[in-house]
Amino acid sequence: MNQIKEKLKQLGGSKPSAWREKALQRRDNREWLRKSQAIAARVLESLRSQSITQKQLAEKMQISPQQVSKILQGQENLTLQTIAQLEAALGITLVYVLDITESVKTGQTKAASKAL
Amino acid sequence: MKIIPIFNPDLVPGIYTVQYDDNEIEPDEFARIFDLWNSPLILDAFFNENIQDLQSGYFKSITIREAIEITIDEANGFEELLLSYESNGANVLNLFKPLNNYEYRIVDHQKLKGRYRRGWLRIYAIRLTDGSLIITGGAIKLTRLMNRPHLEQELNKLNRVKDFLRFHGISYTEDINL
Repeated sequence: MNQIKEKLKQLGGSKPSAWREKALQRRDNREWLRKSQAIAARVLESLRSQSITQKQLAEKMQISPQQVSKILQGQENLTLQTIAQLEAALGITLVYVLDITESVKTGQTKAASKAL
Repeated sequence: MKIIPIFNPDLVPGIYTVQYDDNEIEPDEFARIFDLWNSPLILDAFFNENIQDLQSGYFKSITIREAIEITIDEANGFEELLLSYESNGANVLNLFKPLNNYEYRIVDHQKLKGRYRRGWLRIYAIRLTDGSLIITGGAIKLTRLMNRPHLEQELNKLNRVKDFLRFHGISYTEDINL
């Protein structure tokens, strides 16, 4: 057993796998990261259904194609401004805010969605 | 090509992955596959290219967007299991469940009790005679067979790494990899 371990050690690189550090970062930022990924997936769906290219989206948003690509990687902590620009460029709603209203008759809480 | 540890390098048997890029500019394979599985942009292109396979299988009317969400959630689940096992001092190797030749899924067997064939993420790895695992790659498998370019690429990587191991006198056998 030691022989195999020793041989593998000699065949190793200068660093261990980069996976663990990245996984911990993903875990630490899971809440907003997951939302960024969901927004990216929705934007990609909209680009396809409207036959808009990433380059055309960049032009509509007046940003670079590289910035659009970054957004679509789903790893960006998007500002509300960027989200609003995406919504305007694509004519879709990406973010909703729930209004909580209470029904007097049933005493139950109802949630109604309202687009921002 | 380099063989690098993913977890504590003193673990025996251990879990390793491959750094195909000798210049170490590209990430190692284990880091790379989880990056891909977390990128809506890359997943969108993949599912679009393989749309027929996506919509002809178990999930008949699934959209590309749904497939992206499923993949990211599955990858997150894998990562959570790996990190929690490691932090609890449990044997991470127990999470790698063999499906077929060289093909694995990451599963908490205690919780899922054998339903681990669901889901389409696959890890490809070679088991050495000391029980260590060398992860050569990963893929999204939408078909039963390996006759798709992205899956054949995984078979090529397996063969490259097998050649490399043999050249350096590191033991594995086909028997324990079935």
